Amino acid sequence: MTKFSIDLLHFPAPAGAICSMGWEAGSYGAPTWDAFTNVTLGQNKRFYLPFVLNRRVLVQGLGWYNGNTVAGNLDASIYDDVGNLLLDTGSTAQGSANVSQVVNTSDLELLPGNYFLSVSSDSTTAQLKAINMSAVVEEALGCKEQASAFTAPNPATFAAPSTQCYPWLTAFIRSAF
Amino acid sequence: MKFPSEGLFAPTHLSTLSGTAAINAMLGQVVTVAGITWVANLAVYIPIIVPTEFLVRRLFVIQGTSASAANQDVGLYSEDGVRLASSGSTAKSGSTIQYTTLGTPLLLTPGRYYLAYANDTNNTLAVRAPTAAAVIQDAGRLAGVLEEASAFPLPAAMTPVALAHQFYPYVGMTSTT
Repeated sequence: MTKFSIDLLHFPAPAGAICSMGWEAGSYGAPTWDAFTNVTLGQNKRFYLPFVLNRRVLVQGLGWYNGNTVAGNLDASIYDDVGNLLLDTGSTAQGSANVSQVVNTSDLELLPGNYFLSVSSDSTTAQLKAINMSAVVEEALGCKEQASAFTAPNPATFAAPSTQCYPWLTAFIRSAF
Repeated sequence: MKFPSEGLFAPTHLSTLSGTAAINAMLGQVVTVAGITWVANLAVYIPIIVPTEFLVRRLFVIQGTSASAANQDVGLYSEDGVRLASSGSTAKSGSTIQYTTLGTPLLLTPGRYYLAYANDTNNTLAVRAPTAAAVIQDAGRLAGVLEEASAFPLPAAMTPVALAHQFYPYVGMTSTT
């Protein structure tokens, strides 16, 4: 067999932010060919988007990209791979339409491993910019979903995705150290 | 306790959707909602880089919407074309993801592998995939995607030729149960 070598410690190595649209998310990247559009999250439904880290990072904030319709409050968070809540913005009023929104958090050190970015809305109409990908593709990426979970549950109760929604979520990091 | 600042972790799901698979990340082809029509007993082999150790616990296929009584086989091959794991002939069920749990988890070392899919019927809407288009065949062939006729169930050793169909089935493996 051919000898195989790759610079694994930099693969993937997020710089500046861990992003659901980045190489570190999904299954070495999330497919972005489906429509990137305004997607209604649904009231109290929580979305979990996987990402992987090969380096220790310090998370200092969470962010999302508001859609065309904004309403109510959002709650973004980070979970470990078995559903333990690690970081949470708490309920945060959704800001202006069609712009990104950043929430500073307490610092969180993340070690190499598998995690989830997560978000939920308490509104029936709130939208985020998201990929409108089919739920089975989300499942193939390792995404999870949970009903009635606006306040970040601890632990999470993961279920298979049922909604066409892969939102743009970000965890801001101080550069890997 | 000492914690590593660097470590080698993979996403929990690797598939032909992954950025490390042959062509999918660059093609930008929208996944068909209903699925593509397969050719009976044809196997397609899609190369994928596994950059870290990966413990395969399940194989999966994102099924199309066909209700036909076809059987399918999902497999994993070494770079040298030796079958490492497969579901064996399995009745297609439903239109969501069909998982096969391996009796014994399979530890992959970093390297190149092939994910494989075969179906025993000229099965309309057998499996989700990018919309059939000439670019799938050409780009797939140029990216090393292979096929084999009369290869159902998936053979112990592949005897493939260059891709000659517009097929790029969505199959994968998970390290989760």
